[in-house]
Amino acid sequence: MDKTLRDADVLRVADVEKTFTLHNQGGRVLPVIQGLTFNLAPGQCLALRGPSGAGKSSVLRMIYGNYRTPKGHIQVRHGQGGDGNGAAASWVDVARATPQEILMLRRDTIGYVSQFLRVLPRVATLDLVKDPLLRLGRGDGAAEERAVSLLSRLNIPDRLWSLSPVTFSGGEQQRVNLARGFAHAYPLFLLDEPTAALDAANRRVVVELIQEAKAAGSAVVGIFHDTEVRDAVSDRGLDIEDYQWSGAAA
Amino acid sequence: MTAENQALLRVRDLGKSYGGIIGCAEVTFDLWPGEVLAVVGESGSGKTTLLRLLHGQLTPDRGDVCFRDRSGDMVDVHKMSEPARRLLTRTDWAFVHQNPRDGLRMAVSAGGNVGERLMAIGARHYGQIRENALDWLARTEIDAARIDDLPATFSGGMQQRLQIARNLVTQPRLAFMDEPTGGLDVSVQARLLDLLRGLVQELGLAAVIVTHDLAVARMISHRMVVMQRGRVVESGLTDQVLDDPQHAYSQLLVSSVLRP
Ligand SMILES: Nc1ncnc2c1ncn2[C@@H]1O[C@H](COP(=O)(O)OP(=O)(O)OP(=O)(O)O)[C@@H](O)[C@H]1O
Ligand SMILES: [Mg+2]
Repeated sequence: MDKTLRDADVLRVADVEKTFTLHNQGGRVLPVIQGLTFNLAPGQCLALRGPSGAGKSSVLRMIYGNYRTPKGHIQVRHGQGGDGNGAAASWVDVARATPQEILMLRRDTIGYVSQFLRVLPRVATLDLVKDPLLRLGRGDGAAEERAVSLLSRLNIPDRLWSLSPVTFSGGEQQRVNLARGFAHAYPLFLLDEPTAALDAANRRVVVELIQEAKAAGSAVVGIFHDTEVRDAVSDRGLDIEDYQWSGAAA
Repeated sequence: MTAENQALLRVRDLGKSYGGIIGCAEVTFDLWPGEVLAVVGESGSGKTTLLRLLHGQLTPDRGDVCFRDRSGDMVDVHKMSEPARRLLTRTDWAFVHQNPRDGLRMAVSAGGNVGERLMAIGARHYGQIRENALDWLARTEIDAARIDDLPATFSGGMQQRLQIARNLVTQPRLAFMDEPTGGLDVSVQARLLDLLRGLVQELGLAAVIVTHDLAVARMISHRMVVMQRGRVVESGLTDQVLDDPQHAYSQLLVSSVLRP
């Protein structure tokens, strides 16, 4: 455990750099960001801003361990239940964590909702939403209750719950994805355009879900193209362009 | 330290060549309990050689493979006696072949194929064996009415599910699978994969799965190694290797398919 990290933070990103090397396109190097640094406390929501291609999604993916972080640190506080059960917290640096540690973070600590659902054929919607809770060792009854409540709030008609979302519309899939993402009160949520395919009524539900999560102590890093949603949920913004690659590595 | 955070399989500097040709070289990794590792690469990249070395069917030129047995001891797969290794392959280990005909006894009924593995480890009570076989047919979605039929009367997908039932009935802790969905139609593949995923999760089974299909790897594995010309060129969390591949060869593999 790193004692220099402020206990109040959930996430601490320090001097993160990202480039992509396209080996099969002449070894072209695609610089994305450099020197990205920010901290996030419980209950806070940070909105990442910037034009298309600036690197917003890449940042979320690095925090989730889906993209590699070649330089810098992404410290995530792990292991202190939001209910204050006293379990000792430790810091995991996603930039250097083992696959096992990243999977543990994804189970317990980090929830990620992207715009698209990766659908598994033959898995019922209800089971898909219950799954993260069952993995955490919650009872089937409690998991089902939570899943039902979220699917209802997100206006997924109950006749669809026993079906695989394979055949659902884009907006329905996104709502299933949100229900699954919000099933557990993760200490840290990463939201990549969570309302992109939704109508106004469902956007309002998502805003409420985010506000409730924050009130319960979750921190959020999000990309919100809808300014109304962004204003309603975020406490501060961060312009990714301020961290554009300048060429000269620090 | 509990068994949960000790490696189940430890592979160090494993190498094998055929004449002057490298089958596989310098392969090193640990497999954890409950973890599914996918080995991907083009045909001829050494995947099956690696799998057969791990399973002890092939003897390496160098390096070793150690397995943690039920008493918690690490045993060297290539130094144990042949009877001891055979016992492992019948109890703690499963091996699922690409072609179900290689893993099934085609002259024995479906129920017999499943029951045989139980009898090989000492089960004698006919009623219990049949009960257990029925249970596994159900878990692999094979109609109980087919229990006395020969596997040859089954479709390819059913044969593959029967092979899985036969392998998992002894509650192994580690499964080796060589292109388990390889010869099947796409729709049949999806069903089998989904079944396998469920069973692996439910049983807490660790597995090494050889596949050239990145979508299969994405769906079923936690971690992945990419092999090229017998060597591991990249390894890591499955979605990380697929979404942000670092090595030229991994990038080529990923970019040759549509959104694995
Ligand atoms: N896996 C990858 N391999 C190579 N390049 C990538 C990869 N992922 C992203 N990029 C590149 O990195 C840059 C940043 O992309 P990213 O998706 O993070 O942008 P974004 O800010 O989220 O954009 P948008 O608002 O359009 O979603 C882009 O130039 C993109 O092409
Ligand atoms: Mg984006």
